[in-house]
Amino acid sequence: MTRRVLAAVAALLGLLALLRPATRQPKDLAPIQLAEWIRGRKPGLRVIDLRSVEQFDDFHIPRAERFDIESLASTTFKPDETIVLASDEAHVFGDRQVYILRGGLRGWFDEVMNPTITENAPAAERAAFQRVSDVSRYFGGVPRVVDKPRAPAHTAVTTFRRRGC
Amino acid sequence: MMAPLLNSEPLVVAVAIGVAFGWTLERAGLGSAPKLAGQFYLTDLTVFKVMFSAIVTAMLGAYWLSRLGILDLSRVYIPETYLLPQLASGLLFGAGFVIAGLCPGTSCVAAATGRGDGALVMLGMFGGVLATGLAFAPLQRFYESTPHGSLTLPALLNVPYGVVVCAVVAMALIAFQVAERLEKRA
Amino acid sequence: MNRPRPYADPYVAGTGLGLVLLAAFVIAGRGLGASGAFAASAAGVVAAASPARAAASPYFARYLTGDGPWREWLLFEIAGVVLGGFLSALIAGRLRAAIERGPRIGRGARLAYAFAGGSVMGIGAVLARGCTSGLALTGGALLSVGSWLFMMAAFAGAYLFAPLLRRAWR
Repeated sequence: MTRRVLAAVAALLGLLALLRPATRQPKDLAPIQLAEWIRGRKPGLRVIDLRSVEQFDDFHIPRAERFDIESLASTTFKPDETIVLASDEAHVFGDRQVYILRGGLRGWFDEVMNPTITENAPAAERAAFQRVSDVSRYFGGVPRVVDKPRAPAHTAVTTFRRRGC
Repeated sequence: MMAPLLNSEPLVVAVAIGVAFGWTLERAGLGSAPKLAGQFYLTDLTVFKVMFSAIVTAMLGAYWLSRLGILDLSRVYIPETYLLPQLASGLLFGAGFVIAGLCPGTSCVAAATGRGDGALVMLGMFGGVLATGLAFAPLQRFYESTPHGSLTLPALLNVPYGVVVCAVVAMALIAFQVAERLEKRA
Repeated sequence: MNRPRPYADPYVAGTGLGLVLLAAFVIAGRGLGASGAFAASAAGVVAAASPARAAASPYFARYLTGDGPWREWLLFEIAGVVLGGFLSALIAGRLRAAIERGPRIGRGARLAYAFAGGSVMGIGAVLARGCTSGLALTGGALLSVGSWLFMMAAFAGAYLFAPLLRRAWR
């Protein structure tokens, strides 16, 4: 009897494993989190940039690697690697957990390179901003205190590059 | 997604896991050499049944915990693959297994429950490891040959993890039927 | 003394063992093991006798880093295995001082076989990077290719050798 139950449970769990997992939804990753991972030299971190060669050469996130979609599909990543796509579209990645950089490269610029805070922000926000500023400066960013709530800075990549990153 | 609970692996946890490990081995009867040896004369397939059902259980558990987003499998250490040394040493190890009647883990259980042969297997195991460790330099090239890192069956066969899991379960259920028949015949 | 209680159903015991292994994955991020404990203690003994000898062996040397061989995780796990096996046998009335052997082999020969078999397994476990617990069981559940290869090779080796050892067991 016990054996039958065990066998049935194993068979059921085994068969259910056949159902393709609803393709793992990529998780959003806050740019500042990625920045901290890069600064902390997180082991196995792979930042994958899917933009064109020109865009990549123009500017890319430190430690990022450029991939074509095609070459990405034929690349096997080690199980202990954390994959972050720095791109604006979600790509199907099988049943493997990947992270999508929230806001893409623009998110990186707005939140890591140009973080802002209003003058009269509450204390909690200020504390968080302190942490962000720290990381931002590490990457040569310019945290600023502004008087109006943030109008997305959206600095063009090219202008940023000229500032000498 | 949860990483394994511990990074520093306190040693008391090691002892606790060991107690549970030793307990289940003893419950199954795997502390008794003649019972284990029966595996290789097809009279008592306990070794195979216990081992394969443990593999199936842990495999299903790891797969489902990971799929449900509870366990981050990428943080669990997967034994690395070195094809040639593992093939050749596997054959050698198997020969040692049938000579000794116990494997390293079960020899500890046998010794702990008063079996003198278990203690001698432990002693031999210690001697074998000691001698190989001391004579390691000329063996190192072989030891490090044909490395494939943390290669898994799904990656090797290029099929989804879930398909391999299902195939292993199916194989196990069929093999258990065969094992029962073989035991009845013996 | 009470009559020893019968062993558990192998499938139930196997499922229990699988849950222990799963718990090890979840709690410690690693599986079970046995041969690593022998390796750590061998490294410790060699290091105590001759530190130069131990450092000269790349195999032992890696056990001598960090907290040293006597703080090795698997050593404590194996201490637990001894304790757990003892407790289980105690409760089930299966503790017994004996030399278990086949019907046609003497005690001395059995002990010699035990030592010899253990030594051969020791060599195999070093070169394969693990044994039935750490490599076959743990890696088997994680679908490691090397683990499955080792497991099949070990069973093949045992079945190939078994006919030569009939005298010892049957």
